[in-house]
Amino acid sequence: MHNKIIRKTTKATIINIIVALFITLAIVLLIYLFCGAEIGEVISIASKIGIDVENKEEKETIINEENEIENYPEYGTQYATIEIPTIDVNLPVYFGDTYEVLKKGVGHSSGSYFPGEGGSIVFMGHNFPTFFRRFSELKKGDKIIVKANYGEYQYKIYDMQIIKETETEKLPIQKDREILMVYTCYPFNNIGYATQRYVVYAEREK
Amino acid sequence: MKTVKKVIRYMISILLTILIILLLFTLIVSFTLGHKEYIYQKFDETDYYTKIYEQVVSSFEDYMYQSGLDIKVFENLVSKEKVKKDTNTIISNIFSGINEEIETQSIKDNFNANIDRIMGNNALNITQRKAVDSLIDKLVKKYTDTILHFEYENKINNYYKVIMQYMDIFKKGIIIAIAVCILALIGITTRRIYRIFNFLGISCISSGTFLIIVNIVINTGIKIQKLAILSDAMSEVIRSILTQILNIITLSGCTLIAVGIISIVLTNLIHNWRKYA
Repeated sequence: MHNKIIRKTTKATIINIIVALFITLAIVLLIYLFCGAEIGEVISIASKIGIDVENKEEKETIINEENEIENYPEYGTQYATIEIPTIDVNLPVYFGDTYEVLKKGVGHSSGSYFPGEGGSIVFMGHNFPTFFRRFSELKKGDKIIVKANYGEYQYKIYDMQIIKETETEKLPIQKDREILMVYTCYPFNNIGYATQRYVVYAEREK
Repeated sequence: MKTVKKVIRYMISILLTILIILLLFTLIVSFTLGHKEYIYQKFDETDYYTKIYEQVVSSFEDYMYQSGLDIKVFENLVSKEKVKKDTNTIISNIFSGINEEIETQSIKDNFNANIDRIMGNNALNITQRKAVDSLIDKLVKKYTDTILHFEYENKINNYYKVIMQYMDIFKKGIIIAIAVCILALIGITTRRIYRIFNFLGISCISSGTFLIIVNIVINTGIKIQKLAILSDAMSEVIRSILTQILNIITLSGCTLIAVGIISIVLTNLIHNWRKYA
């Protein structure tokens, strides 16, 4: 008798559990039919909000025969040095212009071209004594050397200008003339927030 | 008639499953994202206030280098306590739907006091004073931006409270609906009242299984430990909250399945005992 009770109870329990699982399946199917696409989209977006450090693969930056950069440096990394012998400047150049980058060295505006590509390049740095404080000593004809990890490029200064921070048109980005524009805050011994910039314009030497 | 009653019972089970799932999600949101104290607790757990304080100090350093001023002028402009107080004000604003402003005058006062102390009173000429005032404005903006994280705080304030109020009404509605379903089950199971636990058990198992499936889908689709939103500090808080919510979902799912199985086994045992013993 006890065996019969246990057998019947087990059978009924299994049937009830199967019914419960069918109900779950039905609900899942209904959700999938009515809003499966939207849920998939949300999960897809959420899965992309993150940094996949494991899949990062470092590739060497090179410049090909058509002066095109292959494998651009990663944002925030150092890829070159800038030398200005006249004022004893030799600083690392980082791709990017965040404050964090500018604490460490010279920033390369991400909207501008890379040295060797043939277009306008915009570099910027603080006016610390060891950085660009001595920009006023530069003269037309002075040399600026950029040693990138894919090649070395030399530029000759042809102009210097003091501009307002809002005059972005004075840092024109053009693709068919390789001009290096390096700027820093002005006045050099400024106190407070500097609203002017001292820009050095240099053209690549053939 | 017997078959009709059985079908109705199963229909109620399906309805109960949906209601239990909705109630659990509503409760989880209410006790986590809908609870101010929970957010504060998560901020404490993930050391959020210290990280934000460090971000604020670092953001001030950004201006320090270009300002031409002594480094000491930028020291002690804000304290950890102020960062905590202001962060909590923002959270409180979101929950209460008001727009209480962050106090920034003390940053200006501390900065000016530092200048006077280090450079001497009236050390600045008119032009320099103007440039310093402009710098102070930039520092204050940087501070509020770092604390706020995003510019939509005011918009969130307007909606969050309303959403939570509706959620409260929704929660009460679900509880009433569950009670009605149980009463309906009792109503059509008058002869053997213990049988309603059989159908409640089915609902518990279905809703528990559903929660486990939800957990699996989210964990498979989203790499929570790699989520990066707004800032490192905020990402850690969000990761911690999401992990805990998923743990609660799993725990609730497992508990519901266990309760469901026990309920079904006992009901069937009583039923068969009465029938065959």
